[in-house]
Amino acid sequence: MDEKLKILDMLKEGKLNTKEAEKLLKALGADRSERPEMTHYPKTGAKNNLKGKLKIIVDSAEGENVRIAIPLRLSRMVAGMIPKSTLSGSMNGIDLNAILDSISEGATDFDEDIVNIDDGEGTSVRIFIEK
Amino acid sequence: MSVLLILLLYSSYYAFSGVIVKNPAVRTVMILGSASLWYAMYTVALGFSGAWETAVKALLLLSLLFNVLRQCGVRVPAGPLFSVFKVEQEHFSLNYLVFKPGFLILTNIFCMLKRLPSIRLSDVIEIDVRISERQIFLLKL
Repeated sequence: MDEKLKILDMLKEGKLNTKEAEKLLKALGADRSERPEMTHYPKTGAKNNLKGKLKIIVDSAEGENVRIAIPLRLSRMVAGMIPKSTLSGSMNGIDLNAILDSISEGATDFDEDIVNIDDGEGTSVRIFIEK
Repeated sequence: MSVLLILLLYSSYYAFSGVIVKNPAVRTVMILGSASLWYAMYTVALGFSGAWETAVKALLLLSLLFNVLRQCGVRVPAGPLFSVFKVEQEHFSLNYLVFKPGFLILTNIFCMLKRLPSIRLSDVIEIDVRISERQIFLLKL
């Protein structure tokens, strides 16, 4: 975009005539169209080769219990499986979606639990990877 | 025509037999309804011949056995080709054994629309949500 503005400025200042400016703009446009978009690159498939299971254990003081075991490559699906009432009371501001996104992007090298919260009042959340 | 009829009856039988009502009177009515549907299917199956008759009768006998065990509260192992779907509420429960490859076709269409990764036959997903002692949602895919 900057290059186009520069060309237009040069045209305004009289450093270029209209034909020269048109040529330069066309050349710039052709150069852009030859560049592949990021989204057109083929996927590497690394996300599909994630091995192991993501396990989520939520126990709330109100008696709501959630147990989820899901293959890592499907971890993005987890967010919709946990009742919102269970999550809101037990996650202490932790963004579950951000965790799940990073796992599905391949961040699986955790030696310990990803999340291990126990508020001492009967509510606990444990998220870990079982390989 | 017989095939269409048996498909229709089996769909109704499948939907009906998965509902287990805790009220004894309603439960009895449900069991009688299931038994009537099963008998109707068996009568239609008698009209088939050869291998078809044997196959349909075997399927019906297995369905009956599974249904009786389920009504008696016996847990039947699902095996790798079947998924368990169970919802338990205070007054009733839904308990279905779903043929996994068929279920995955439908689920993967949904996943594709939502741009989620597809689920493979080898993937095992276990979800167990207990809101209270009497409200349970269980999915073993």
